[in-house]
Amino acid sequence: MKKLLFTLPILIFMAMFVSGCQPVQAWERGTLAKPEMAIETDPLETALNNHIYFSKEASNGGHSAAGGGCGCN
Amino acid sequence: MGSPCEIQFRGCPVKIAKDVVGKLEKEILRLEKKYSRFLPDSTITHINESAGLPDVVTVDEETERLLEYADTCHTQSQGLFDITSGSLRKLWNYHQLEEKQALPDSREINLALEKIGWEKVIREPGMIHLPIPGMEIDFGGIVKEYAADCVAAKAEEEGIASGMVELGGDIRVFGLESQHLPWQVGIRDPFNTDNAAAVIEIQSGGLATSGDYERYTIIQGKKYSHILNPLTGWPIEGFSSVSVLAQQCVVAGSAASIAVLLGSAGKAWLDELGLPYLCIDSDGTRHRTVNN
Amino acid sequence: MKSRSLLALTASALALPGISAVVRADTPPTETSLGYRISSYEEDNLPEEFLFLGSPDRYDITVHQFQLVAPVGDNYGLSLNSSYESMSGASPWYALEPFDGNKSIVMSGATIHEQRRDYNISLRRYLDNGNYAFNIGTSKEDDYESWNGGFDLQRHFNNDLTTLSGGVSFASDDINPTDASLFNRVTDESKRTSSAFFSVSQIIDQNSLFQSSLNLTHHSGFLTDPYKLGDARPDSRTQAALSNAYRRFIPSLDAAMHLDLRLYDDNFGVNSLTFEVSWYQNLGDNWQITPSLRYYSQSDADFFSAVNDFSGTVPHNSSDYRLAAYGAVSGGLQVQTTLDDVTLTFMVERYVTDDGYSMFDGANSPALVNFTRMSLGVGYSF
Repeated sequence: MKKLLFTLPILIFMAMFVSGCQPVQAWERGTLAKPEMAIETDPLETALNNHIYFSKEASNGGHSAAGGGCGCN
Repeated sequence: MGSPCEIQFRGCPVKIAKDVVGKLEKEILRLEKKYSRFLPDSTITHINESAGLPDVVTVDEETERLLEYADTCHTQSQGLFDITSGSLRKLWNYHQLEEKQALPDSREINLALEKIGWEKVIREPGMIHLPIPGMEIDFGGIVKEYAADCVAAKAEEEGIASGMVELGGDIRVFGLESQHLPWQVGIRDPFNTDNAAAVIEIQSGGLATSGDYERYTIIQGKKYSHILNPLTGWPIEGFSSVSVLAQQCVVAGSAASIAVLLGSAGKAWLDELGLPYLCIDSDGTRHRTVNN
Repeated sequence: MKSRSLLALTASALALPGISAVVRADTPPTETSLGYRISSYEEDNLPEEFLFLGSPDRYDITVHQFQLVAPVGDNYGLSLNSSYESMSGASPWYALEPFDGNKSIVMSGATIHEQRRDYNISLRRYLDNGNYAFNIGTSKEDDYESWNGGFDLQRHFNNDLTTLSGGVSFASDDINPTDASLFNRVTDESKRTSSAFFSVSQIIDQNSLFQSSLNLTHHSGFLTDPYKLGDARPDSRTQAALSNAYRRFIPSLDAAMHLDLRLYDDNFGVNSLTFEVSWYQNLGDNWQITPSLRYYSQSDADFFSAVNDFSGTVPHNSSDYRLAAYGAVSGGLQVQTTLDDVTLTFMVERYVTDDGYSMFDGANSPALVNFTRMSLGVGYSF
């Protein structure tokens, strides 16, 4: 598990440099701008999911800093 | 510009939008007054009226840069994109042909070709001279698209965060960033002009369409496009329409025009160019890389 | 890399006086949008075979969420979020040596009724090449109050193909359990949280992008559950999570695929893995249907035991099922429709836990929770 934690970022950065070879121009990013292509498509759904899973599981942390606490955990 | 024009803004109070639209209208009229070959006082008319006369015409910086842009298109298309090819149109004129119901003969074509050729035009910085009487230039495939870019740039200058400009089917979208919805833009179907052949999403940049769906004539049962090869004098067969997406509408427009002029070689040229496109063959077959 | 023809045409076009070559600034939202969502979820009853004492009815929870996003001036975006949560039911109190078969869980006796309100406000400033935001929020319950604040920053690089983000947040929580004297519970405890994240997002091609984020969170203070008997946890906890998101659009199907993988590690001894896949299928211009599948598995905390240790010889101990080794599988289906400026969303999710789903060895708990959730949302932008 710990090994995975350390090797994964390396793979990611390698993927980034490989992908850097095909620049996508600003005017070619129409598809990427579609709402269903967002990292978090629906802020309310994301907030609710984070809250529910936070209150039912031991893990915490996503694509932002942690929010406030609550009595649920 | 003799074609419908549409401007849309997002997230802008109506009062401000009206004010800005007024300024943008002025910009469109300015370019039309300057570059329409139908208006008696335009720069283009002045240049064309001086053809064959001994005097050179001085041009301002904007015109000079547009001529330079036309020169680049001419070079990049190996002479197919030629802003002096307009006089061929008269030869293939719809109304004349309807009367004649016959194709122009080779003598007529050769006569017309004598008045054509960008390489024959004499240019110095800030000056242009058309050496042959009857020679003409026009900025078709350039200036309408350039106007869309200008209007978008002006709107941005006026503080409009996001918008879309459409001038006679050529589109420029500006000011969008990743957190916004892309604009949905329809490409006209050459076989059914009331319908969209495709709807594509544009986040920013220009989309221009070139093709023979708007103007063509049927002679002895055969459809001839209004796109003419300045080297042979004959209409070009191949695409019904080519739409290209690029950062600037003017680049999209000239790329689409050049692809159409290249006929069957157009698709390969666009592939090499690397810009997303939608080409529709004369039989309706589609080749698409845009939004794919 | 670019074609020579394109370079020539572009250079010549950029020389035209009316064409601006300015780099676009990041822009605030262009529209104001309002959102409301009501969600209801019911935890399954604790199976009678594990119930030693108390009520088997676990929580039923209703959540109302409100959101307002609006542009402010030319360069700012404001986001207001609020939610109201009400819950009723019983929760596990402590666990004994199995008696009469598997009966080991003692549930809280009376039905608990609780409410929680939270408010969050964030103001984001948009710059030429990025944006930054401050946010502040609070969450209030009868027995718990939390305040939090944070800052985050985003910057685009490499022709906007790469975006780096980072941020920090802090929270201060006050815990004042009810019926403290009756049950000999603690009074007036507190907890501090500091968290930081760093994130890289990369556009891969016209149809795909990737984001990877590292989150480090440190808690200190009273981390024990005051309502559980025999619960005693260390007073400091450090968590690390690496979240990876991949998004791919499939034009021929008019659909988007989401893959998410999170790896988590903390000094309570909990490791976990979360994998999620969603498929956003557009149907025509106005409908979207999204099935999703999530797998979660965690190892147990070092001080977890299925049966509470009341011997007084161990410094830390908990029978909280959330610190046990287990796996969870959940499946969801979302249907969304858009009519002009209005978006309606319906979502249903079923979450099922089991020791057998776990990919980690370790002590298990019989008090694992399963639930069914339904949400109905409406959004309006203008």
